[in-house]
Amino acid sequence: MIPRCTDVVRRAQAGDVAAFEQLYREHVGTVLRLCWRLCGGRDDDAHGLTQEVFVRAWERLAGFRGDAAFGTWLHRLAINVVLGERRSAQRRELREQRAAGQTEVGPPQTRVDAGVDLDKAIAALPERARMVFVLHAIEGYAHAEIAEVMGSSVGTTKAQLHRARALLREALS
Amino acid sequence: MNDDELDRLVQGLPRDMDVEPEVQDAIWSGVEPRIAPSRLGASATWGVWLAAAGLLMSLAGVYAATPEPTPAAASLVGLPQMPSRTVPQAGLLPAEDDLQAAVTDLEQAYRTQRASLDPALLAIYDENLQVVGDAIARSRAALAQRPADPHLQRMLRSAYDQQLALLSRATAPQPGSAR
Repeated sequence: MIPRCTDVVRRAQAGDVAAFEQLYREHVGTVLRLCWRLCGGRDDDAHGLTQEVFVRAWERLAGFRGDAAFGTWLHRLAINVVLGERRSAQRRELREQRAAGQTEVGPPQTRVDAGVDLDKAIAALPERARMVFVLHAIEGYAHAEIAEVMGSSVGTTKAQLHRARALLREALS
Repeated sequence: MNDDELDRLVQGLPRDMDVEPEVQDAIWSGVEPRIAPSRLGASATWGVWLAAAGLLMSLAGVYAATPEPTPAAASLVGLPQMPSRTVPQAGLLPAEDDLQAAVTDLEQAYRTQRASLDPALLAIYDENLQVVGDAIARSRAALAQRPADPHLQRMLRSAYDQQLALLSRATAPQPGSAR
């Protein structure tokens, strides 16, 4: 059986920053790719979110008991961080719009000329449809799990997935 | 494009990305400053706390009476156990007796399990426990002079929390190791 709580993880849990940096180097590619996809392909946002994920991982490392692989634990944490940050940003935007006397939520994210490749087409999806598509179709999460982390219903995430697939088929045709 | 073609494209998507070393370094440069201060072994936070406690004691004219690290902390790191003027320690915080009892239990477990811990890991725990033990001793000494000071109370409470967290972590079953 592959040990899930490695010596490096245990040293990081004991406060060894060098060990934590080793974990960071090992997993940054996966976390960055996930953040990049979830935030719509914006490099600066993806870098900032990746930093936030690893800071949060350090803070919560004591809670990692090795029930799953460290990468799996980190992956779930990354999704929670991205969705949490997005919810905070939406609340800020809403407050600003209300302060400015606007009543409508802003326009959907700017569309790029989809059809170049799948990742660009995914980045161009409306935000919630993109998140559901990335989590379900790419990361393999079940609708119930997605609904839980996104604070919505299973029916809603299925509808978002259907919408995302339709938009992608159209964009890539 | 139909659904099958879309699914095939999705399956071919990479799960991670090659991150250039300079990009890794740039991202890490935003992480390290935010985690290093909370690192107990070289903690700037603890340094500030200890300095603050020392300053308060100096102002009160009691700095010379600062006790040595607690016997428990000293024994944990292999230092000669110093006689203490604070054992049994009178409660300076609400329910401090309970905190001290929990610490004592965990210290006993830690002593029992020391032999099974990796030596490098053990050294890190010992170092951090010594820092926390010192912080508790000095915070208690300062609080004894200013028992109503809310900042000192918070410092002592937080130091106990850190000590309990460290001991709990050190004595927790190690997943992946033989049980």
